[in-house]
Amino acid sequence: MQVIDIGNDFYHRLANRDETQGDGFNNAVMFREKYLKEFDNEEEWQNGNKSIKFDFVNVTKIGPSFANEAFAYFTKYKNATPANILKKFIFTNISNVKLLIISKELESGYNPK
Amino acid sequence: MNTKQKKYFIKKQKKRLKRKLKLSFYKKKIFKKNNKKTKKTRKISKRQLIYLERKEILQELYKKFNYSEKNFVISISNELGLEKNGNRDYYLNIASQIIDFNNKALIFDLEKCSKIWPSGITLLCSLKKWVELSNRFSINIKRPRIASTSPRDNKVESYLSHCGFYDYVGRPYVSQLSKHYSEDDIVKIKREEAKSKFELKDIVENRENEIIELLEKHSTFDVEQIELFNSVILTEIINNILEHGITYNDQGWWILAQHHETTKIISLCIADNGIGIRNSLTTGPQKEDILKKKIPNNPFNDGKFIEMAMNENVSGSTKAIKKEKEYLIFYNYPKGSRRGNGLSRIKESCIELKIPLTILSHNGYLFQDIEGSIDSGSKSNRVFAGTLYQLNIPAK
Repeated sequence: MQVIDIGNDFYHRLANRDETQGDGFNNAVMFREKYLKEFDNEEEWQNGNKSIKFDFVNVTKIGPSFANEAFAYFTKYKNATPANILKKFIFTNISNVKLLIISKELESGYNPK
Repeated sequence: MNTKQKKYFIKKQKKRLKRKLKLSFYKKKIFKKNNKKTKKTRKISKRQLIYLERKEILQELYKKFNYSEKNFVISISNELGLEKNGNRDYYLNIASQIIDFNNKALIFDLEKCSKIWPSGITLLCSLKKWVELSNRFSINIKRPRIASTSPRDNKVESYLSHCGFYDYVGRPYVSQLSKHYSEDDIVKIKREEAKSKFELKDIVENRENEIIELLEKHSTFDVEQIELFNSVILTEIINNILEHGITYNDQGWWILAQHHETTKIISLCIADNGIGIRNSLTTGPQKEDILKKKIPNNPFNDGKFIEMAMNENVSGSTKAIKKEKEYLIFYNYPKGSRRGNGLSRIKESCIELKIPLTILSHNGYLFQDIEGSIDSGSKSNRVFAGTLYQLNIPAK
């Protein structure tokens, strides 16, 4: 399984949703396109068995906007429930706060109000 | 016509036809290309239209001002700040008089002023920036003069120099003035100048680190609480102000944080000089949904619009997502990522961390206490030239 050290390979401050938000650098859209492109189709969420591991050891923070755009984006696919997403995207060395932020965004993306 | 001539004539006609066909083929190609281009430009122009509409709003705002009335002296005889509940009405009253002033000169009488809190300093900086930008948005405006008398209390003047206000407005001062205050207790206000996005990235990170250091030294938060504050509240507020500030001479946003030992708070003020929350919401892609909520779109409802923006999925961003048809009649947001949760996340985290939150945006104000009770409203004049987020972080 592929393991990505986000802090070193991408950036330590995960804050911006896209190029229009914040300083626009190292945003969630870029992140998704770099690491999660192969998950961006219905087939993968129906029958696929790919997964990817993200190591958060060098990440200082992840903001809700980033988490929403990078991970909750996939809730648009039929089988992409928050639980299934967390099975395919495995987070290691992640703090409780970071995991809480990601889980909240997954729930909010899955249950539109 | 003999047979040879006939053959020649037919050949020529065939050639002509071929040329015509080729031409029409290329014409179609060019037409398709052009069509693609126009579609692209249409896409871009939708965003550009929003920007243009927002620029027009600013021009309209500035149109009201010619700075030609008689000089106006305003006396500040109390504490100026939102940090203490008891001072809020006084702050809003002063703010509504100074932001929309239309005089040749505005003179602050600070003789009886006993204290200016960080929110007061941020207010004065927003006024300074508003006046500085007047020439950009309205032709033939003669910039007004803004001056002040020296306060009787030495500590007030000392704080004005210490917090970076005198540097911000370009007023000379004696450096010894700031001896009353410690350098470890403050993140000073300054002009956030960035020549490129790369510089902006470093500036933002440095300012965030300064705030977190201040919190680590003086707040009552543990490591997890600081992480929550940093990840949700600080990130989302900074994202908002960077997106909505008007960037010209400097970046159009300010940060000031101060630890107050006696009141046991760290006052954090983060502000921009943009068009405000109501104008952002009513010019963005969600404007139709927002205007359906039957709140009249005028400055006297700025407070209600701030309250509305605290709900999930309400966004003034140029990339906000609209509701889609679901089950024939019902409209809902599509599943997946979407904008408009920033303020609602800030609101929730402030309640969790027991941080009272104040938002001022043009004529509107909103106060949220530690339990989440909200008091919002609007004044007849603007109370801030942009949007201000003020937080009272519990300190040792």
